[in-house]
Amino acid sequence: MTAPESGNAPTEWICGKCGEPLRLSRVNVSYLGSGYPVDLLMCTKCKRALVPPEMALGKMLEVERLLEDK
Amino acid sequence: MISDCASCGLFSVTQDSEECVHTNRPGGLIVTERAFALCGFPAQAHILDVACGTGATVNYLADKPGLKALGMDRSGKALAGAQSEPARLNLLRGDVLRIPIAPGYFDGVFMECALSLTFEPLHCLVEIMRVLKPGGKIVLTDIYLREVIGDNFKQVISVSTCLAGAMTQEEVENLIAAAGLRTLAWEDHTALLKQWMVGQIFRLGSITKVFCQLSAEKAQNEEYAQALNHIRLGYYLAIFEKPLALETPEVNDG
Amino acid sequence: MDQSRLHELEEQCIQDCDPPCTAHCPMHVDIRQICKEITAGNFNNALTTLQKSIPFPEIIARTCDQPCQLVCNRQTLGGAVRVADLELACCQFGKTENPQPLMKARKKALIAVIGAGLCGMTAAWVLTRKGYTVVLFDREEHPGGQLWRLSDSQLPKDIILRESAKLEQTGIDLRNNTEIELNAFDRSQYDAVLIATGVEEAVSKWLEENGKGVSAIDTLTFETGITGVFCGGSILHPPSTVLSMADGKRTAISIDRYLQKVSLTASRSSEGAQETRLYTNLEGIQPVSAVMPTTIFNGYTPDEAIAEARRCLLCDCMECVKVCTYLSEYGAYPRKYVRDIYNNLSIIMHQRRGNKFINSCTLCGLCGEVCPTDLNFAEVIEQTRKTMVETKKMPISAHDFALRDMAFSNSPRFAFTYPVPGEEKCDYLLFPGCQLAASNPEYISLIYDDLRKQVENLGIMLRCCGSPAQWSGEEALFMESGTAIRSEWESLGNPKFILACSSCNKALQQIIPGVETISLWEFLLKNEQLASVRQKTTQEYKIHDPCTSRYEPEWQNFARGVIERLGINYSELRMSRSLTECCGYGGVAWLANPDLAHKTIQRRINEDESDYLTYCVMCRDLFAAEGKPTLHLLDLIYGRDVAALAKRKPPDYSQRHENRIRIKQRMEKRLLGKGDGIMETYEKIKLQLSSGMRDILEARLILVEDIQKVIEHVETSGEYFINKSNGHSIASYKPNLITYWVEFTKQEDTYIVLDAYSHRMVVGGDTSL
Repeated sequence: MTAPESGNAPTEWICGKCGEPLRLSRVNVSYLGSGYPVDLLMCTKCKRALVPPEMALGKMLEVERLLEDK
Repeated sequence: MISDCASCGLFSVTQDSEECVHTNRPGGLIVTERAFALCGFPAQAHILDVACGTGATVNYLADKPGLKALGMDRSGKALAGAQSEPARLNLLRGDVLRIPIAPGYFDGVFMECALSLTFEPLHCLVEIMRVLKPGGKIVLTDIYLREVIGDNFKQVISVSTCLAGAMTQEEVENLIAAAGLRTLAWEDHTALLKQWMVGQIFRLGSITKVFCQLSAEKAQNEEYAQALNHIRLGYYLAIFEKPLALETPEVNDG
Repeated sequence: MDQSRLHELEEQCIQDCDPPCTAHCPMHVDIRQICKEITAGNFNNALTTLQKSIPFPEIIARTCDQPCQLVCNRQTLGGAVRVADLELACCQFGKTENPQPLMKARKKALIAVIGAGLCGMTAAWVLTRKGYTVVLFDREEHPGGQLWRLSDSQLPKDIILRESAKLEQTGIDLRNNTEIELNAFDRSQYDAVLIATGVEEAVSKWLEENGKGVSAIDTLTFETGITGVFCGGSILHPPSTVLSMADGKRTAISIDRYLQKVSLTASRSSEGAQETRLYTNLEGIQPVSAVMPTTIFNGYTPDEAIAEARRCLLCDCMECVKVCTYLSEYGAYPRKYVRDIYNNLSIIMHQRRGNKFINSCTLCGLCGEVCPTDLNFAEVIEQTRKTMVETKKMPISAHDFALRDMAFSNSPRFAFTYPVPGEEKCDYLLFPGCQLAASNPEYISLIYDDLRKQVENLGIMLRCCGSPAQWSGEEALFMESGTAIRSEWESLGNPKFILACSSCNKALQQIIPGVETISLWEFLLKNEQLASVRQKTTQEYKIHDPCTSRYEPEWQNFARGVIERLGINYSELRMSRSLTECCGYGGVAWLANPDLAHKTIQRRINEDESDYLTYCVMCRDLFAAEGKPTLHLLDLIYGRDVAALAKRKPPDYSQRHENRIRIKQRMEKRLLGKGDGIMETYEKIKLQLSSGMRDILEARLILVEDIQKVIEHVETSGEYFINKSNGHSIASYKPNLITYWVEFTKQEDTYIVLDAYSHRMVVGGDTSL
């Protein structure tokens, strides 16, 4: 998966439901009461965001372990 | 490419524009405010912020009417960055091991997130005590080893400037007792550390990278990462008091 | 677990106990450390260590009566380590700085010490360093007492002078040529008095008249019965330099406590020569003869000293650490670990938990078997996990995957209990266990058929016994699962269980205390069919006992009986039967700490070059997965190509689910006559997965059905994203706590899976959970 471009320019991903192109937006990600704002590609219409695998398997996993005290 | 942090000049960052992990510390001012509330200083108190860095605490204290706040740091760069525009803060360049102030001057001394960075914590405390009035208070916040399993980690974390000085709660208590201080409060604020670490992970990419930034020798290896599995860091706020009259510590049979 | 039990457990671990030499030394010299330092060539450090206990090392090295020699573990292996010679080497080759100037504030007390033999010298030394002012009287010209009687070759006179010069250097007021007549002595100027005159009739008489007499002097405190007067040294015991020195130290402690007005007896039980509880395994240690110094009184050369110091066994215990990858991983031992886990329990209860450490133990109990004091560290861990779960401190994802697998096994998709068709109750109940069904479902119906020939009234119960819950500390979950098993068992008329898995055995014994369980092996031995099974191979195997059979010698014996009946050659591993090692599956350790599990497996499979044979399907699967050809007993009975079976890689997680579903459907069809089984809606989704993709799913703990659920969600909600440039779609679905993402394309009615991953963090929305 290619990395999202910076800025608000439309990217190659579009929302299958709404037909809108996904744009980079600030979204809150949280777990067990701790949150942090990150930039994710998001459909401006239905507000659903795309979590890329590098983030899910990288930073998110580390944060989950940290917060669970694993 | 690794260079010195533009703000404090002491620790390393991977990009020129980055701030090192030390400029924004866990909890920001939340713990500072709590500590201040717990201490109950008199209105015209003299307070010293040791290792004041970019001046967040001095700024906070300087806003309290009547209070006389003084910030001290080893780094000229940090002090230059800390000074407000227009200049209104009292700042001083100095080392916590040799504070350029007369004995018994301060009602309170703040040392936030810095004791574990010194190599001689007992001497630091003794020197701080010197400039404190009898009955004066020390506010200490720092990381501590919340838990430790076995002994294998010691060798590896000695590589890190920040972790090498981290102590367990018991060790801190022994240190305080050796200095002749009295504990007024001990609070765990690990939740704030975790929140801060979450931010750092998202900024830098992984916990190991966070710790590597705190490491003098840029230890990036597996061994270092593994050793971190053997410890759990915590964050504490403690308030100590310089006794009114000095007592000689009890001797033991040793 | 309460504090007192924890202290008990800490005490039970003997690793910290002194080695016999130190324990029996009245001064508790750290001989082991000295030997370590000399071996490294650090004579300076060795001397420092010696001086920590012995103020006059040059004297003691030459004159000590060496109680350590009789107890050194090297005695039978070449001769006791020549400690006195090593101490002499320290003095000759080590350099330390002169005694530090006194740092302690002077105390306002004056003490008289009468007699400057070794006892008096030592007492004066210790008291001065504690800050007291000491006046040391002796009738001779120089201190040393009976030391002057020794031969010059053993103890040169200038050494006595040199050592005793330390007394004045350290601030002691030395009054030589002063004979004290006790009746005339004005005790009132002194706050305390120590009588260390050696054997003197006048002194003994005086003590008799004024106090309790020599024979009644307190052996712990050295009180004489006269206030403020203490007595020690050779007046109390046959001549012994080290004993006199020890008396000197101990009387000084008594005087210090007396002057501080604190208890003279508290916490003093470790003073003086002691027995030790330390056990050191001497197996396999080669005898090495002692290195003799060239001349007795001149001592070793540095090289000789190093060679002799090397003979020190550095006695310690570490029996459990030697056999356990987990215990050695963290570089300590049970006493420390118990302390580490529960440190400061009363202050900040929740913060001090070494979670990964606690979840990495396989609970196999080998430690308890090898420990000289039977300390079973697994019990500590089990209890700790329970407490963590109860106090909600167990990390959510630590055991989640295993518990979900257990929930699956107990769901209608696998769980199935049935007696013989037409009957309501049964005499025997076959409980094959969830993992046999996951890995070798075909064997289950074969076993069932064979057993039915032996026992007409045989029922079957397909379930998970609940072990994963117990291992995870989920007591409530374990009980819940157990209750369900129990009620079904009761409605079947309390049949006897026939079990294929020793873990199931352990669990069922707890769920239904006293229940009758029989191992499948015992049953098969009585089976006529077995007698006709041809020997399938002439290869010799090493037998591996699963760790849950540790306390079940019957299981171990019957399994071996079956192997012998089949005519298969086998022999024992070094660590077998009650000393068997875990394969890594136990305690759900493989999930919490995959790296450590890998090391554990490697350790076991590298113990021997032969192929292994076992009677637990998880052991077989884990060993085979890591490259060790391993057979299960059932492979020998029901399998065909044993060579291929031994190398067979285990099915992946998704396949393990499918296998269980299939065997249940099969048994259901067979016994009930009907059975489409339950098909979930998402199971209709057709997927195409490359083998590389299956490996990725396995590593990420993602099941095929998880992917099917995501795709089903796409079909019903239309929620997905498309990449314009390559036509790939991506979508997510969160059935419970985990969000699964799948990247895919669609070809006709089949979805081609390109990537799949998951996370627990919640995107957007409510942050509270």
